[in-house]
Amino acid sequence: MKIISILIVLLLCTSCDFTKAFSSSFAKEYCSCRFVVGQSKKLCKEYAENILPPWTIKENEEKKYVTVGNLFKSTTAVYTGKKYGCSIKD
Amino acid sequence: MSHGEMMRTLIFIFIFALTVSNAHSVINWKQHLPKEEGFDKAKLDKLFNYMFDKKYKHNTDAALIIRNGKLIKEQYSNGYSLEHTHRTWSISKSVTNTLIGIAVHKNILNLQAKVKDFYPQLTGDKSDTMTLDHLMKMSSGIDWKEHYEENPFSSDVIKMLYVYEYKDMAGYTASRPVIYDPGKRFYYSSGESNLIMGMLKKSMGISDYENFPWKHLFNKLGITSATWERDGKDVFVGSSYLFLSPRDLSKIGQLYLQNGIWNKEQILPKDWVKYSTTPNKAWLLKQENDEVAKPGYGAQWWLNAQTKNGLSHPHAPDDIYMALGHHGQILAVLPSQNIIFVRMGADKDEKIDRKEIFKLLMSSLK
Repeated sequence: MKIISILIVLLLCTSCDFTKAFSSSFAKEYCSCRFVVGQSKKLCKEYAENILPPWTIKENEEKKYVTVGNLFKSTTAVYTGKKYGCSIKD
Repeated sequence: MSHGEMMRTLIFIFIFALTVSNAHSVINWKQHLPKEEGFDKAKLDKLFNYMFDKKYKHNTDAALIIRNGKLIKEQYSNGYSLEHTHRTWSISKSVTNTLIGIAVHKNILNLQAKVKDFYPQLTGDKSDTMTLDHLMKMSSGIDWKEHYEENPFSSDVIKMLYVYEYKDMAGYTASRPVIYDPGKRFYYSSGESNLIMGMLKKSMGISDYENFPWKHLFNKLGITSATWERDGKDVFVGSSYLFLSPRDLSKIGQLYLQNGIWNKEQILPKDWVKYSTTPNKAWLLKQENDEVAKPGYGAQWWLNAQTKNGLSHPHAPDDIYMALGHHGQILAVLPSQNIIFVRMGADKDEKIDRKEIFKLLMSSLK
């Protein structure tokens, strides 16, 4: 019930800035999990997921970035190297 | 060169290389028998069982104990090993404290520096008196909501980390209204740790800042696993985004246990550990109104300070201080027992009980 209520609020609020948090938190935490910590895709997906599963995940292992879509918003997190890890780019 | 001279040269090179490679060996990583350092092995196993047994669903990835500078026990799980770095989450705040200690020691910053001199966008009369010291003690007076997954919609920290404010986390924090007099109200805020990091960045050149944690801390302690992620302004996310291996994290604890000295070098000011681990005035005022004993707070370090309701961790010594992070990350320093304890995990349901951990730890001492 709680999840359904949250979903209704979020769908009514797709233009709110807040919905960005769903794609960006997944993108950032998944990127760090994969490229900083070096864990498997499966473990990282489980770790990064919160409340709502992402609609799309596009991972580029060679260039080390991930683009995540959720609630009509998209976020890319990029691995910038060992020292500074991942950061959200847009 | 004669054969004898060549041998002497080789021996000299060998001894020199050995000396250099041991330059950071403040901790002896050879695993020692628990009983040699005063532990009951069976009881210590009970503690590790509590943390690692899958039936408890505590999701512990790594744990280790150091006593008297010697590794007593370490264990890894869930695909982690001693080679892996790990999220520290809010343990980052305590390492932010370390960087500020170094900056103070080097006269780069002082604790009475006015925040407004670095972030003029702070508004209201109350912000005029806000200092770095207030930020260190989580008592800036800035209006802030530190909620996580349980209430993300009104959370400033979620907004700062994941909405659009990740582009300038310190700037976002400084844009919030100052509604309390600085130094009067304790409120745990990730924004304040990022404001601290922003002040550090503004106190030096860009290349000095980019290398500061490595040049002045990590390299000196032989820490090789560090990753410190940054926001859109290239400010280290001092609240949350430091990654370290458990062994490297324990070195931060050992540095504090040694009062800021590493390999005979005073890295932190002499009184820094005392400053960081003394209950701050704003927290003392707050605990008067708490209905149960909650952990104390110094400067970016958690404490087991005495409250009117007793100790928050009744089984732990009252001199323990802790760096704590989301999902159950723990770095604990027990000066009276000469112990460093590290636990890292992905305990998303926060099921693990710190009180139980310290109860089992203390009962394992003979």
